Amino acid sequence: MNAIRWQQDPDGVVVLTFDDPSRSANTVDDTYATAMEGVLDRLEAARDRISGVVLTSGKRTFFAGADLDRLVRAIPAQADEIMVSVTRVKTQLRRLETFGRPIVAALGGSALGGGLEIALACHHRIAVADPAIEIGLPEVTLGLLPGGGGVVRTVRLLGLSTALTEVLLRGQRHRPARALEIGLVHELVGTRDDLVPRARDWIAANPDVTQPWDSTGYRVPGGTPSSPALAAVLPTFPATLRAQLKGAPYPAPRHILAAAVEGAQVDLDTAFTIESRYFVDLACGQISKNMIQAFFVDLPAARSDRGLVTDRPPTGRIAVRGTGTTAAAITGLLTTAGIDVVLKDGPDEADAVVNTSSDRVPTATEDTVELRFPPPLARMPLVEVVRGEATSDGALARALATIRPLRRTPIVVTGGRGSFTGRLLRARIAEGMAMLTDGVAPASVEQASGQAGYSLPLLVLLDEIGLARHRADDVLERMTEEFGRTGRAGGAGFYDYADDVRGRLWPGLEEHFGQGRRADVPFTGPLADLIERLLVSEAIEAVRCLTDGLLTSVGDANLGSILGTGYPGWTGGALQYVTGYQAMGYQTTGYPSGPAGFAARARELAERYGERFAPPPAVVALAESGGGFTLRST
Amino acid sequence: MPTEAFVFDAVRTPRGRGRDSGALHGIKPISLVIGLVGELRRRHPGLDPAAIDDVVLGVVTPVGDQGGDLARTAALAAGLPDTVTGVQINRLSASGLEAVNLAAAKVRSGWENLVLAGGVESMSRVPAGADGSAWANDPETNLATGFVPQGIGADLLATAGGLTRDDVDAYATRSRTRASAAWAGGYFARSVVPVLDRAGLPVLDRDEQVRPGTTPDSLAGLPPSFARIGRDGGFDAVALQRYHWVERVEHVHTAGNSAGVVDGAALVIVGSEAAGRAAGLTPRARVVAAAVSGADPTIMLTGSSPATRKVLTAAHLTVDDLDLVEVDEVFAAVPLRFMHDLRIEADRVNVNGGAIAMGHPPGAAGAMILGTLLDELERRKLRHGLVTLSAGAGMGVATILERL
Repeated sequence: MNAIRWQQDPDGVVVLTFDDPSRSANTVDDTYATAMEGVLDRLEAARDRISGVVLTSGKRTFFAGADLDRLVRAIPAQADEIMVSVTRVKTQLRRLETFGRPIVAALGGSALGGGLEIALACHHRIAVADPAIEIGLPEVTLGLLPGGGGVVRTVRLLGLSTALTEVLLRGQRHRPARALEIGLVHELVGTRDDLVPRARDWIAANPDVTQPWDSTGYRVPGGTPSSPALAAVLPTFPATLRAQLKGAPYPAPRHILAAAVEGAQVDLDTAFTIESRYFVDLACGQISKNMIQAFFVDLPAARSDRGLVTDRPPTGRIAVRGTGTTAAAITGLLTTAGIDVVLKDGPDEADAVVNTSSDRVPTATEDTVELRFPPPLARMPLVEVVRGEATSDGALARALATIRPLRRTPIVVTGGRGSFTGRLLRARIAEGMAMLTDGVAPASVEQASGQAGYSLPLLVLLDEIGLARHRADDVLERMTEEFGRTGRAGGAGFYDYADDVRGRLWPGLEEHFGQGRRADVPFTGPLADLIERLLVSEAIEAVRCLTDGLLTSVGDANLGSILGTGYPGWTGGALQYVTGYQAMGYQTTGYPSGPAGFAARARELAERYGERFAPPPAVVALAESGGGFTLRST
Repeated sequence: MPTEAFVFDAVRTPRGRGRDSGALHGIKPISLVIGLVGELRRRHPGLDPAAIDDVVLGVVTPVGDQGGDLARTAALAAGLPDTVTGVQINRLSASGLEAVNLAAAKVRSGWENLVLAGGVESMSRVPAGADGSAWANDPETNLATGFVPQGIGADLLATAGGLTRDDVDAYATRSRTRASAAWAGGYFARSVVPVLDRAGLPVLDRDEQVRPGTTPDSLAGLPPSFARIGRDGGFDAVALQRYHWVERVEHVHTAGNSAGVVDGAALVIVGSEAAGRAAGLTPRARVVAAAVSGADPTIMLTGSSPATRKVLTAAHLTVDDLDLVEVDEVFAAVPLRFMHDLRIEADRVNVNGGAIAMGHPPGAAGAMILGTLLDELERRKLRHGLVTLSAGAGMGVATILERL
């Protein structure tokens, strides 16, 4: 069966319907490319009898995008193969837009990634005004760039500035109304049924049409890098990007910016080639693999029903134990999501219990799970679902169903061994405090956090959580007991606050904790060490959690770290960081990649900063076997 | 022994304000150079123009009026013989000194004997940056190297070095006071050649932005120049990502404590002893040594310190042997950092003021302050002088002269 259905009507309009019978959503894979090849041959052979073409979809979505199952496995040795396939897709779309008849994209469902790239090769884009439809190029969120002409065409359609900020660099998923405002689509219709008739009308009214960039006198909106007005602000584009990324090593937005700017300086075909080169580099690199695994594979798996069946209908109720501010905040969270909250001690009649009281007695039973919410509540979109030794699969399934309206990603951990995210965060906090007592400037601790890619700088995070929570640490104990600095809520922490607005780092930090440091000599040791001390300390703790049996799913561990402690997304999570280890960017070279590289780097950190960095046996075993953390189960 | 290189004369134009209201805005950059060539020929009638091997000019923005190898074009337009070639060079802010050093190196190699070296920049006509830059404008390069504009680097330099707004304003006040005194004392009379129009009418005979009566109070009210671009343009963040121990960049530099944008040109006669004798020229100074050095490009303007250490080594001299120093004043933090690094006291540095008072035309500046140094060594009858400039992208150039 063909992935593209052909239907020609007496008015000469050909309606092409993407409907790959082998998949639930249309994908830019070999099946598509082969079908497209056939369609283009047929169109060109019958050009005289064709008045226009409408592209539409037989699926719920218009088109899903790239073949990520393939890209997640791409290695540098396959660069030529990836180059060939991405070039083929582009060449076909170029044939389509220069076919010589009006081409209309009729978007009855979401067009993301490759789907929007196909639509961008059409002369006219019509979408249904349904707010559930998403339109955008979210490749960047998976460590990739739109390699099917999406960078080149959005720049030429919208101008560099709009294409970069509204579409490419953050990968926004726009509703149709917003896509219309930006200029990604040309018009909206009320229903799916209106699409093809409207497309026919447009074709009839616009028999001779070319893409803007193929028209005489075309200029890139807003100018090219050689236009003085744009050249004057161009240096701020990379700087702003570095500021937004806080220096974290995300290659995709960097490559997107480069491909967009370089492409705007040359002709269309050369621009396509430049885009492909940057795409292949990303596709074959480690970071796109990490991000695809975490956000395309593990995330939907964690949010799914995990193949579990409820033993009886959920009560839809959650019991909250404790009376403090945390209990109140969590209660607010649950009730806002429409979940019934019972404020009593017994777990009876509830699917899950939240225990914020200080007893920390495990509350999971055969019938009920415990829920833990990593702090700060508003910043960590995760919930730890703790099952006891005796908790049944049916009870777990009930709890998962009950918390679904929270729209927080659940990870499943085993009770009695502490909180997964709590253990990771404690490891990172201990490392950050060790840096302060080593004499590292507090600003360097914050920079290391940002440049590692953490969602919040460590000292900001501690101030938000409150220092009293982790008083086992010497620095934190002195901060709270001796200096009365308990965090943001207390009006003073690592930072000074005025009217709840964070000011500067507390000057006393260096005076009281940086004893090893001479005031006139800034810390000049390698920043890469600071960055990796944070990342590695947390990764080692994640390995220990897995070894201890605190959780069994590698995917849950990875998501738990990203969504529950703010571990950098580019790593794919704290365990994937070990599996896909690469030494930090430009600063350190000469390490092997993967677990062997991680083990070597951990040993080096152990020599410099302490035995806590010695790679755990599980990592040493992987380093020797050459494998990675890939085990997965509920 | 290599042939020694000597400086026989050094002239410059006054510096006009680098905007369309500036006195030199209506004068083409090539005309500034032609005027100086004419002055040197008038001063030195024995100088056979056919003996000139080359004209080396620093031009930092070599496009438009300043494009197409302005040095050769100026040589032709000034009526020098066809055999006199010209080359335009660019080492950013240090180009004018680099031109002199290149001329000296040519002479010391023995391959050339007499070279006119200097530079020109008409910033009012060809704005800085008009020539583009891979460093700034190519995202891949910009991201990989952490580009920030000079002013951000200068503010970071001040912050990291603990220099306050008061410190830089105090330096600026001193520079302005010294420049006004030097003008009043006629100390620039030998070097400065008034710019005349085609009818011979005077256009400008003084550095246009020098104003007597600057006080720290009059500077203190000026707004910081780079706070906004640092914040909104992302450059503060880029700077701090490298200087990670600094919590934030304090934007201390203003229009009052950094060098003004100006128009101007300078020209120096460099040659061998034999060539000078043949032309009837008296050597004023010997070029003892010259050096370049790179430094961190983000903080950007610290290059004069390593370049100076290098040139002192090459000259077998120490800081104590330097009787006078001219260091660029693109931003007040630059000379302050330089004096701190080299442990040189202010009483022998930029004794007649500097670019904060008089302006900084990047292509010409180094050759201009070399002339200033030479005049002052002669006036004070001192022996060794150092000229050094830091330049964009983290470079430094230094030259030691011995007065004869």
